[in-house]
Amino acid sequence: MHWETALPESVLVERAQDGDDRAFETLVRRHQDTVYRIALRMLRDPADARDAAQEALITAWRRLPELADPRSFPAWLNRIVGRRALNVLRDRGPVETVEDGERLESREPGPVGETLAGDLRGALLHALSGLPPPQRICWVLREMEGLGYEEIAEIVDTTPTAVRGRIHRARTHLVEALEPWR
Amino acid sequence: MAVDPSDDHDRLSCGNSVDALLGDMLSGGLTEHESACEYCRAQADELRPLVDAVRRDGEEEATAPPGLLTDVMRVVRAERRSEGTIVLTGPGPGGTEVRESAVAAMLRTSAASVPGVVVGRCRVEQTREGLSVRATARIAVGFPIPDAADAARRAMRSLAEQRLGLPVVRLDIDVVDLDDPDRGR
Repeated sequence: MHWETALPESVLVERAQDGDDRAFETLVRRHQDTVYRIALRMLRDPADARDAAQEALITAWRRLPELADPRSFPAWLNRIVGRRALNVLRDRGPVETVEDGERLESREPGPVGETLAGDLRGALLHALSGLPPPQRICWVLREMEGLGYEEIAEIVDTTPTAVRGRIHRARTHLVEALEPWR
Repeated sequence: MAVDPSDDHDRLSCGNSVDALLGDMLSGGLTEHESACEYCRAQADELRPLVDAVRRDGEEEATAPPGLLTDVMRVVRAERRSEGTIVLTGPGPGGTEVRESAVAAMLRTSAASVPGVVVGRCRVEQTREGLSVRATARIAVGFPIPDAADAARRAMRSLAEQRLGLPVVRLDIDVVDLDDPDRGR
């Protein structure tokens, strides 16, 4: 129903809260790329990212009536997919759940890394995969998706100050890794 | 202004934070200070490859895989929340019921014919006496609110009476906004 795309987003959110699935479909159409991208950047695996995005969107539909302010829908949705992806990372096992600050063994480059190795962007993705997940997540959400410290802190269950620290360490690592391109 | 001590490691000698500088480089909007300050410019040189890499990544933005929307909506439609129905009166035997969500959609559409009015939430409840409707509406600047709300109420009421054959015993409209800033987004 393309006439709905002309409506203000908060109207679509309110209608979806009432159970209007066509309004929700318009919202999914509008936000699915961001949701998928957050999952992909956190998980680095297209199949896992697709699953996480799908679950996050369905969770959003189920919890929509709890959302108090329709204007906060995009941030709220980012939180849901961020948390979902974080759970997937935790479930992947001990290699992914090292304490913040430890350096990870580089994982085998995933499908994303393989196709892009050799260029600057590939180097960034490779360097990102060398970060401990908590740092990687904070960096991705902040610098690639533009979320605020408070929002990120809510997703990863920590304080804004800890988020700042992680982003600082991530940035230091990434700047070093990309040094050859200066 | 008090400086958050946790920021100390992130501050340049000029007082600007590396995070702020990086943010401005990524958005392409350097402040006057950042363009002129030697500390900021030296730091910007260090950050340049990172900024280029993030930008390049942004240009090749991944998009949602085909089929994601369809899969999500299949689940959503299978478990639609609004399962309540409105029972229409008729001579019988047999009866006619309409989903509440369908009635709400019809009511919203009827109000869409009123200039300057957009209905958001619309909850319909059937009581012994007739329908009770509660809706939220946005009324564009320049339209007198009482007139616009009355016109919306009339449109919704006549739809319920003509198409559903049900009296409307109560029709509340909450005007939640006057000129929605995210209109047209």
